[in-house]
Amino acid sequence: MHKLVKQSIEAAEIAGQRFYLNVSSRFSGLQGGNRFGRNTGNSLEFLDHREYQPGDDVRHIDWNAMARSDRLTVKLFREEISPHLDLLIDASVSMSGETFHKGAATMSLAALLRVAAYNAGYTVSCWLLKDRCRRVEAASLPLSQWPGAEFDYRGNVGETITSFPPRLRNNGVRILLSDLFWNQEPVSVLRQLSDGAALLTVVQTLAKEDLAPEFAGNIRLIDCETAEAVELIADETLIAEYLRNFTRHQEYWKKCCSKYGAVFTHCIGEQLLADFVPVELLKTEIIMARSS
Amino acid sequence: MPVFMSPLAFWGILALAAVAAVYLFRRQSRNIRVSSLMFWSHVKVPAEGGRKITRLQIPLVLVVELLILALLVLAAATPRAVTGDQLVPVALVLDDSFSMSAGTSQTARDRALAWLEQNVLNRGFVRLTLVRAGVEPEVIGRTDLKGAEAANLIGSWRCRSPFSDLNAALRNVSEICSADTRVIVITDRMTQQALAGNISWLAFGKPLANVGITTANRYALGDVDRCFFEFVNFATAPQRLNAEIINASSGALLERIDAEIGARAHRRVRISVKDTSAEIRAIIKNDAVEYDNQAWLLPVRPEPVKVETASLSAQLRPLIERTINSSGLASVVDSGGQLAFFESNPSDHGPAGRWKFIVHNATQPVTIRGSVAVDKNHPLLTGLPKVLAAWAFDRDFNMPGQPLLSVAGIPLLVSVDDPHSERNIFLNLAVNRSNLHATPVWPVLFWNLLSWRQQANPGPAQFNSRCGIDVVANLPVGIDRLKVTSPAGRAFEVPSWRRSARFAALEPGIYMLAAGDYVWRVAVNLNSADESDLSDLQSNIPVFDLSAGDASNYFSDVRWWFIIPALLLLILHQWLLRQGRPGHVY
Repeated sequence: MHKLVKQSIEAAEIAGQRFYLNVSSRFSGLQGGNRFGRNTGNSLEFLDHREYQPGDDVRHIDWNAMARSDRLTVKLFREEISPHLDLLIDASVSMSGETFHKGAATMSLAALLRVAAYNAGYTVSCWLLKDRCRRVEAASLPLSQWPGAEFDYRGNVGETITSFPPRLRNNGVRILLSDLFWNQEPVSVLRQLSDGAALLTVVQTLAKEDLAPEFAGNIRLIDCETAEAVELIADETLIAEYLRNFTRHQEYWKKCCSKYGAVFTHCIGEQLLADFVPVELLKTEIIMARSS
Repeated sequence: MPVFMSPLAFWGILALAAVAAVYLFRRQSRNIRVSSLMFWSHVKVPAEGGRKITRLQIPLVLVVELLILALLVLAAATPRAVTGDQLVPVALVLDDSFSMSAGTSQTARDRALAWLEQNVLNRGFVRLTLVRAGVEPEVIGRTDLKGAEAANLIGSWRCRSPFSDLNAALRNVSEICSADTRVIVITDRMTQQALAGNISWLAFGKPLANVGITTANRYALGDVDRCFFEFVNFATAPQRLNAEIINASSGALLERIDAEIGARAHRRVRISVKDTSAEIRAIIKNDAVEYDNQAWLLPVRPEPVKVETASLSAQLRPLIERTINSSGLASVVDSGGQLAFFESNPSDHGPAGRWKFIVHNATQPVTIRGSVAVDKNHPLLTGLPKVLAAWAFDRDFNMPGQPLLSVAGIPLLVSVDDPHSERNIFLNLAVNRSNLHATPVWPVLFWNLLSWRQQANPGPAQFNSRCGIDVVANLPVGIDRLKVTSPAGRAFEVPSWRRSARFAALEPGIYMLAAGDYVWRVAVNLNSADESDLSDLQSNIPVFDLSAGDASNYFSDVRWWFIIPALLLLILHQWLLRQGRPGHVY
């Protein structure tokens, strides 16, 4: 593993202590668990009173309170949940990037999310997506010590997900960390991942060079995965055309995610490595900052 | 075509190479690894595959840039050009002597022509006057020739003159050209004379070892002809001379010379030729410079003068006939004579061209013995001894004409030319009372008379001549043009004046002369030590600029010729850059 990646993972694990993975009403359909959620639920833990509203379970009417106040009041109990996070990491070569920033950011984000999930009481399963979806055994190990945690797969990760889908836990939260630079129909991938998921989040990890390529003149672009090359003369028009293609691809993913109830967000590697604050994830409330 | 005053600026051409190198460098694709080609290849890979390079745009910009740089370099070189119709006057004085054509592989003329081609003829800003400096200066073509015209005409500079009078040519140039004319003398030797500032003296010679014939002469001596040849080794080292003297008429070898001649030494050969009608030729066989390797000597004996004496009295006739016969220059004939003697002026003119010698025999003569006035410049009296004789004459004799001998104002010998090119000579002499015929004056007088008449016969005055000397020929009566064929086969006609025609013989060899029924041959030999001595040839080709000096007044600064197009190209360049077409890199 590259030195930059190792250092970034260590820093991200520390930084992850500041966050927790949000446990929201998205888990409202769960049946029991070993953790209390932040919302109301069916546990025995009393939370609050409020006025009866039509539709409330009549078993929760606090008759004593009604006798005292002559008003229908119901008891609210804390929800009881058993949250689980499946963290799917694209381990293809393209995730490494030319400068290792993208790979370092991906692994850092994974480390940060794992710590944040632990902070929220989640159990965590990690998956490295290569030719197969390989579950990382002993997922509690630091990421730097994960066996086979290298971005060395030269195939199509989307194809791996659809052909060899991982055995993900039902009603769990699933987060896919990938640059999505593969030619696979997003619908098939999202259908596979969202099936039985409480929440699916797609985090597109990108390098700065993916968003704003900075080169001009005669260039030979080499695909780091396939070694396929194409010679171009880069200029503003060409860059703009690239960005149009990239944006169209991204928008299509967003549209598909929306269709399957998944959350789509992105993370720019260089920005994350600067302060280890996943701004976009915070905006979408996938993770939340812990109060001091 | 402009000239450039600051040629060092042409080092700026390296900038073009630098730009081209940068272009080529930028044309080399940089390898860039990307996460995926999916966003690049979707739109940019051509349908047929291959490289996506718009080649035409970049070379156009590059060409424009190179042009701009080239124009700026040219402008920096300070171009100056002749504008308008005023071209720089240049006069070329071309040494036309034989020595310019000496050499085995490359002659001085060849070197000079190559230099002129490179430095003068292809300069568009000059108007040229070509002056061939031979025996006499001669303008080739006309004055103020364009370079291309001069290049065509300069081929007539063939270096076939026995000597070149360069000073006369320079005087000629100063007369026909303006004072600011740049004069370039093309020759094969340096000069020691001080030259004017506008004269450049260029020497293209190279020393050569040469053995040549410098003298060839023939004269009649009694029954034989004496021939004289001089062979000279002009080299600074001894040379082997292998030469032959032959009777060209019979092919007989008269003398063979195979000897070594010391450095700058000569070998003289005298031979007597019994066959006085034979053509004698001397040939050097082992020398590379050919023009002085041959000499021709033709028969020198003219035909005898035909003399009529039938009209003379019995007393005078034997005196004159004996004198005539003893001269060897004439033969007495009964009719058809070229010279007729009379004792009284005949009434008829006789045949055309006949000279008459009339002895005026006085009935009452006066005899004198004393000094006689003599015109010794006249051919009839050349070498005449002092008159110590009793001379009886008619004191009343009076004849309009040129008095050659006179006493006390009374003409004794008178030459009268008539309009028919005939000549009458009157001798005022009473033979029976004089003893002139017994003095040395008598044979000398008649020898001169016959020689003079012989010289007036049709034919060349000399059968063996030198290059550069005029050949003079008398034409027969009724013929006014002499047809000449040079040794090189060039035929031309020479007009006559008073039955005499002359032309300059410049080529060594045998000239054929024809006039009416007469045909003569004249041998012309080079006989020039100056042209044969090639040991002092020199080479001096200074570097000079035709546009410098007074010529610079004809030039004006034309940097704008290059700067304005450069600016226009710069605008075009900017416009191309603004186009922003795909593939436009700069």
